[in-house]
Amino acid sequence: MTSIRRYGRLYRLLFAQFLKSRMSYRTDFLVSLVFMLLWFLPSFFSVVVLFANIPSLAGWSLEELVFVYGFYMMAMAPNGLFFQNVWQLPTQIRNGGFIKYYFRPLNMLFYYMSEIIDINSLNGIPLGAGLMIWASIKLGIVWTATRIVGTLVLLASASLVVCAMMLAAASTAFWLTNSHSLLNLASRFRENARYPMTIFKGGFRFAFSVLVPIGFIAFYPSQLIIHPEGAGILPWLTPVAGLVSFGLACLVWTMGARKWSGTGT
Amino acid sequence: MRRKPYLGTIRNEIQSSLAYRGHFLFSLAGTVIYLIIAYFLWKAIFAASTGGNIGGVGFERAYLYVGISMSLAGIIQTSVDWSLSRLVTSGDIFRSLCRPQDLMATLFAESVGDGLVNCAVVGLPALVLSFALSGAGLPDLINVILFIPAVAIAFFLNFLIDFMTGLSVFALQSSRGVMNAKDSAILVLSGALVPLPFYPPGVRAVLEWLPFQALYNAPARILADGGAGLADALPFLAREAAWAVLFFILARILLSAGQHKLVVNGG
Repeated sequence: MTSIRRYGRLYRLLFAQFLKSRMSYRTDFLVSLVFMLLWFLPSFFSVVVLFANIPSLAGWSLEELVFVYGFYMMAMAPNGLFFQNVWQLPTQIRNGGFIKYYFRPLNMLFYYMSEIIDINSLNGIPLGAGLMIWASIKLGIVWTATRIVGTLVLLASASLVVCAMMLAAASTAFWLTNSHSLLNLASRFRENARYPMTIFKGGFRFAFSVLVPIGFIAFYPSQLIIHPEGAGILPWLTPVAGLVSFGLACLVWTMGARKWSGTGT
Repeated sequence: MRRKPYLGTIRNEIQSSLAYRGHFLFSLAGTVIYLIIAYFLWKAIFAASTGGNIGGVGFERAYLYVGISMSLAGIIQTSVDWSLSRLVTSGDIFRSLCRPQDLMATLFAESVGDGLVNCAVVGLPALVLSFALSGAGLPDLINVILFIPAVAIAFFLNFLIDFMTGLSVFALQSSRGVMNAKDSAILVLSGALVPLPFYPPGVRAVLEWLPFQALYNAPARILADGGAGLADALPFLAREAAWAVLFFILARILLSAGQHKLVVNGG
């Protein structure tokens, strides 16, 4: 318990420091904020473009998919906020800079990830919430207390899946030295979490639910919120998917960090 | 300008990128999986359309556009924006500027080395798979021949866009926001995500004049639209080339302006 409190306090301190250093590049900070919004508009626009041509996708209407999209954006936010530093891992390992994380009496994963806190990623929360609210009004979803709590639990679980994918992909750098391609692969996988998993047939649906669990990032949890009756068993497993995948990713990280022998400099 | 040192840079880059063989395996795997996901997605989209036809385009051609764009992404993507911005923020750029080699030409030579390897290891297999999955027949020889300059110009144009994005670090000191914005702008405006024929006519008309379509849409159309030949491809190629020239001049101006603004902390 004391250690959780200690890390909480540490993170607050580091966060304040990080905010100060980011604010010293004020133009980039502001540009990033504006561009995040600009980024959202075109990628959302592509969904709208698609739906201008077809009435529904695998039985899912535009409103329902907007809901999934909103959920996806919110589930992505924590990963961007806390785990942005995964992108630097391949470089840090190649040039040996990673060695410094061994020398402090801190959890290495915590120490490493606390170095970059990407505040811009917070944009996804109001944007995603806006989409979810718009869609739920259109779909006539009533936000009871149970549904709100359930949604929060599902969002947390989905975020864990996203973080786990990125962490596991980055950690391969300990063995491969260059894990950039796997990180790109993982982030490409992520993007496809916005589509109904029902479009995949046979073995592929199994693969995207279990092996690379992108289905749990947005589609299955959204199914549970929009149509809890006909959802089947899989969506209920979202929290399990989150915990198990994050646990496994941490294991890969720890094994990698133990195994890594430095660059010799 | 003496060319020898740049050829050496290209060769070095090829060798050093071949040193990470695992990297290619994953790049290729990523592209293959993406092509499979796109296959199911577009199958579902066309299953929902009336008569298996959207805006006069059937599944085969739509999937070819997407598949070719995906393969192109593997070929033309450079990470010049990242490396340039890392050079500036770390201060290492002073070393590059002290050398008797031109900074832009050196970075371009490095990108060419990477691009050649990516083309052979990721791009070509992905192109073959796209044709196989689409169910369309093989392209005509003339389309294949015209596709090559289209890709070459697209590569150069993409390099220039990345280079200028990286240059923004001179003005902003940190350019993560601009880089991310550039990536997503290209994805949508170039027709890489959703092929341009699916856009509303008004939007499409605008996009066809912007430089971004030259990156993916133009080469994809040249290769996928069988039998179109030279007359159809020329306007695409001409527009691509015009943007490349314009951006080249702009990049040179920005580079010399940026160098005057550069501040490197002593160390």
